[in-house]
Amino acid sequence: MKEDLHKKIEDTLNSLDGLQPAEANPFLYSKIKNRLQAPIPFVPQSLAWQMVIALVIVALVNVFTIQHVNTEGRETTTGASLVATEYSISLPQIK
Amino acid sequence: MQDAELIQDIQNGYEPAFERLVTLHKNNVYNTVLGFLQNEADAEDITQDVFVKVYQSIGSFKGEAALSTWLYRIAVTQALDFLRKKKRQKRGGFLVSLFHKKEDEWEQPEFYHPGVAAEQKETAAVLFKAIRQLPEQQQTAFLLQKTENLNQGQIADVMNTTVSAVESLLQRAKANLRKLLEEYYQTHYR
Repeated sequence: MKEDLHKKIEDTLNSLDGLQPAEANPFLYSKIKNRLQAPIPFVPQSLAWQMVIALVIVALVNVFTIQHVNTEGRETTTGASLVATEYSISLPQIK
Repeated sequence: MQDAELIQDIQNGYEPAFERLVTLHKNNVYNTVLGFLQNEADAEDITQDVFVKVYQSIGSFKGEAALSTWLYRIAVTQALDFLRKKKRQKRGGFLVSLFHKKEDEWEQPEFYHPGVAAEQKETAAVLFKAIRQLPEQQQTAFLLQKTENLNQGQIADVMNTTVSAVESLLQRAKANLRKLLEEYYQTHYR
């Protein structure tokens, strides 16, 4: 019984000996050629650089705007406080 | 025509040279990929992918390895990538993978390689199921030896390793296959 099992395993392990190679589709080259000729979305290098520059400009504008708004915000608060002090009125607290 | 000349012509954009390369190597590439994928339609798609990749990257081929070695490397990489992707899709998610059992591999449909002799068809189909369960490196070494008849030195070149490493991989592959087959025959033929 055990010998049978052992033989079965060895036969299975050797079942690929003398394997004949499988043959590829005879029209394989035409298919590859069609795939190579299929239009690939092309981005010219100059356009790619323009996009990078545009992104950098947008990022710089954002940084500048954020810094500017923060400064203006602080100035407005200071100005309002001065007016309130001069006219002896209290400013509403922002929570 | 020598490989170097053929490659030079392809790099210069001479299309008949590329056609010649495909004609010369398509059966080796297809046969290699088929051993991994065990599905003729998938193997044909991946064979096309291999040659598209070859065409796109031939400019970077320095000739450090033989052309056939380079082609086998691309074929093995593409086949293994395809299998990994398929496995991920099949598992679907974490929960499913938790309940994924080893037995499932034996439930997969049989693959009958067209080059196997008729009397060995059934046993070869069982062996292919067992090969699927081997770790990638062992699978690669075993398939290159059995389906492409490469010697250990050639396998070492394709796998970018040493002959002794290949020898060890083949030994471990055979030991694992024996275990898997024993398990299979004990549960399926009582």
